[in-house]
Parts: sequence; C-alpha cells; structure tokens
Amino acid sequence: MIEFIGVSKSYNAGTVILNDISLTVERGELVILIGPSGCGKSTLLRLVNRMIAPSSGQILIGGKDSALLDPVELRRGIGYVIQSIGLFPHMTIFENVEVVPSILGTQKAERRSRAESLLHTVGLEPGVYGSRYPRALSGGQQQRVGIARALAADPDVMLMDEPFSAVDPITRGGLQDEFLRIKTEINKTIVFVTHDIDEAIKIGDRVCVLNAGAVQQFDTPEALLRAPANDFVASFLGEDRELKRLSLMPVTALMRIPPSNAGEARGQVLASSSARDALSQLMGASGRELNVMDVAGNVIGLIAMSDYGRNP
Amino acid sequence: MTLARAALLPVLWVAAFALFAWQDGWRLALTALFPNSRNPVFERATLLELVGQHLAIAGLASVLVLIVGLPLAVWATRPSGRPFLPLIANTVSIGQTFPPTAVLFLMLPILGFGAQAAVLALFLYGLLPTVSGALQGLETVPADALEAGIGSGMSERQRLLRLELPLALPSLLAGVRTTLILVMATTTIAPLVGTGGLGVPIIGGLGNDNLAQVLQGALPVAMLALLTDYSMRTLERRLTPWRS
Ligand SMILES: Nc1ncnc2c1ncn2[C@@H]1O[C@H](COP(=O)(O)OP(=O)(O)O)[C@@H](O)[C@H]1O
Ligand SMILES: [Mg+2]
Repeated sequence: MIEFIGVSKSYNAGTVILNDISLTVERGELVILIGPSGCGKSTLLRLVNRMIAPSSGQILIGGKDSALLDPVELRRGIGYVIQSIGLFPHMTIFENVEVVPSILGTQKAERRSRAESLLHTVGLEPGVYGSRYPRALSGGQQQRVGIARALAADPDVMLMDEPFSAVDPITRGGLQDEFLRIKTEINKTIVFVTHDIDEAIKIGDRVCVLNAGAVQQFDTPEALLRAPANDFVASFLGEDRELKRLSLMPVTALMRIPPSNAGEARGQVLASSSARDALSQLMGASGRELNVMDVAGNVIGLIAMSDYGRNP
Repeated sequence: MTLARAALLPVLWVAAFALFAWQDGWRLALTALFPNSRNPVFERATLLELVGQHLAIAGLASVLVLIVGLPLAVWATRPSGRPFLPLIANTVSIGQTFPPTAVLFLMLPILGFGAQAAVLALFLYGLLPTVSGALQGLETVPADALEAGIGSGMSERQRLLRLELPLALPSLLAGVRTTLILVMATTTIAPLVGTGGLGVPIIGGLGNDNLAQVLQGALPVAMLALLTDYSMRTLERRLTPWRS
C-alpha cells in the first residue's frame, strides 16, 4: 500500500509542481497516473522511491514513512521502469536484467534462470536476445527488457513511467495485452504513468487524472467515464467517452434473455465481445437484432440498438 | 579475425625486441646506409640497453600518471571533490601548455640532475590526457542509465564500479593511450637532464652531425610508440565490446 498524505513539490518559490496531493494506492492494485505533459506525473511517481524528496507532506509505503527508510534499501524493494528506458549500454540483456539480483548477492545460476524466465514473460526469446547488447534491440524490445529488469528482484511495488511509449500503436496493443496477463500472474502494487487515455482505461484498476499539479479525479475507469468530475476530466476523456465506456462493458450486460423466437436466423455476436464491438456490428447489420452466442454456439441472448438506450 | 588480431600483438612485440637485440644487424644496415660515417652505431651501450632505459623512464612516469590521474578524476566527479573540478582541469592543462623541455629544466633546481627530474617532468606532462579523458568519460555517462542505476538501488560505490567507470572507459582509455604515446616520445629529451634512454644517441648524434646514430635512436622510439598505440587500441576494443 502506498499513501500520499498532503504531498507538495516545488523546485523554487513560485513554481508549484505538485500541490497538496493525497491519495492511496491499495495493495495489489494497478493505479494509473494520467494527465497532460508536464502536469507532474513523473514527479509524483519518483517521490515514491525517493528519486526526489517532497517539499512537504508524507509518503507511507506499507504504513512506514518513506522519509525514514534507507533510500538504497527502499529502492531495492521497488521495481522502477524509467520513462527513457535507461538500459545499461555496456551490459548484455542478461546482465541488465540481473543487475538488482546481483547487487543483492543472488547466485549466478539462480539469477540467470530468473532472467531467462522473465525475458520469456515479456516476450523476448532469451537464447536470441540474452547475449546481445541493448543497442542491438529496437526501442520496443528495449522497453520490454526494462520491464524485465524492474521485475527481476520480485519487488512488491512497481513504478512504471510510460513503459510502452517507445512502441508503435499495434505493438503497444499487444504489449498491453501481455501486461494484463503478466499482471494477474505477478500480483503487485503498480503505479503506472501514461498519457494515453485508452491505455489507462484498458489496464487500470483505478485512474488518477492530474492537471496542473492537482488530482482532478481518482476513480475506476468506468466511474470516470460515467461521471467525469469536471470539464477538464470530461474533455480529457474525449467526446467519445460513452463509446469508451461501452468498450469496458461486455455485451452480456445489455442483452435481453431470448423469448420464444430464439434461434431465428439473425446475425451473430460472441458473448465475449464488448458492448462497443456489438454496437459496431449492429450498425453494420442496419440496426437489426443480433443473436448473442456462447462459445459452444448456443444463443444466450438478443441485442438490438434499442437496448443501448437503457444503458445503466 | 579477432583471434588472429589478438595473436598478432605478442608476435609484433617479440619481433620488435628481437630487432632491438640484433646489434650486428643495426651495424650492418647503418654502415651500408651511411658509408661515410666513422661510427654509425652508438657503442657506449647496446641498443637493447637503451630501449630498456627508455622503457623504464617512460613506464615509471606513465604508471605515476595512472596512479595519480585516475583517482584524481574520480574524486573530482564525486560530490566531495566536485568543487575542485575546475581547479583540477585547469591546473592539469597548464601543465601541458609548457613545452616539455621547459618543464624538464624547471625541475632541475628542485630535483637536480638525473632520472627523478626526468620522471617527474614526464609525469606532469603526461597527466593531462589521462585526467581529461577520464573526466570527460565520467561526465558523459548517460543520464538515463545513471537514473536507472539509482532507481535499481545501487549504492554510490556500486554506481561508480558498475556503471560510471565501465561507461567512461572509451574516453578514459583513449586518454591513457595519448598519455602513453606522449610520454614514450617525450622521454627522448630526458638525456638533457642527464639520464639514459633512446634519446642519448639522438641528442648525441644531432650534436656531432651523426645522422646514423640519430636514426638508430629515432627508429626504435617510433616503433615503440606505434606498438603502444596498436596495443592500446586492441585493449580498448577488448574492454568495450558493447560499442561496436
Ligand atoms: N529538476 C527540476 N527542476 C525544475 N523543474 C522541474 C524539474 N523536474 C521537473 N520539473 C518540472 O516539473 C513539471 C512536471 O514534470 P514531470 O513530472 O516530469 O511531468 P510529466 O507529467 O510530463 O511526467 C514540469 O513542468 C517540469 O518542467
Ligand atoms: Mg513524465
């Protein structure tokens, strides 16, 4: 658990970067920090592992005031993925991933097998990439190594600063899917910075929208989209926020249980689809009703345009 | 390819020393080249002895440069030494703006005639490239790598040993290479304060208009400088495989 209590940061009198921030990241939760460039996302993140010190306020980590902990020890227990990737250019990919275990004194063989399994986890074949130097990898591959490096000592807390920024949109989608899968495997408290609202909605348990050094709203993606707290949040979420909300909702949440005419020849949509994808298909089918099918091919419901009106 | 390169280096050094040791060969060649010279070969010491003296003086000065220069550069880039960074950088470069002969003669009243004066002058003269190479290397360590190192929980010492020094190596070693070659070449004027080395036949030969003896001293100096350069470049490639 990470608690910010009345945290402010300014570099010199007059310029306030963060203004009286209070928020709590629960154990095992993935919290997204999002906001326009320069709003203080990285600053807030870097306060956690004491890369910088707050001007006032407290940060509690697992209930302990981080200012009283030894910074080097603290950082060894926190995985940190920096915005600029920052792989060590003179170390091979294996050596990069093994850095923290090696300073903690883990045996070589154990380190290597851990590094191999982590490289697998982030989708890099250790036999191919392990012995290369960072410069021989693409930006996206380097970012994956950065994530593996941060995971290597199995920290309870992960700080990730725009970890997918260096990849093209298609690869990014794939990385996000991989990350969601990893996230359920590793069960860590994660603070994740992004400026991509779709990414935030897709992977965050809760999203903290920042602007001008202050928290604008801190809630689940669904609540954020349903009820933006102010104009800034609403415009940040975009005009299509109702559609974004549908993308979070399974079609099964809107469908009607079929009456007697079930099985009638209609277009079909899979039960695993989002309400947004089903809407797109309905528009393609000129608004006619669709059967909602389960994986076994049974009709489990019906969906029509009119079902979207009573959107909860 | 790299293996052949690694094997070439010791072969070249052994060949060079075999050539230095072949006194009769030099006598034959220089007599043939300078038939009018009465004594084309320096006779008070063998060429191998001169090379030995030369390497001893140049080696001692170079080792002193490393022992003093590298820790100095490291200290000047630590928080405790950083206030002295400009002072160190300036002092060291002033040491190099003096012509080496001037430095040599300035040493005379302090250390008198002899090897100590020569070694000290060469040390001062050779300090700049090593210190400035090391400083430049340490000051240009990529900021993102350092940030990642701090964020990974490296102590200051671990950062120095695992990140800063290895990443400074290209610049640092290039500085050391320049020092070694500079000192190797400048040791030639050490006989002016009464020491030995390959400068003895050169300076003597210049005084007596004996070009043969000048050549007998100058050729080995050039060979040693070239071999040093080649060895250092090989070492640099070896120690920084991540660059290519
Ligand atoms: N060391 C510093 N000194 C002065 N200002 C800084 C420093 N670091 C960051 N800032 C300023 O703080 C603000 C927030 O920066 P940052 O947290 O990096 O923003 P972002 O939300 O884009 O990650 C920016 O306006 C930046 O210029
Ligand atoms: Mg940032």
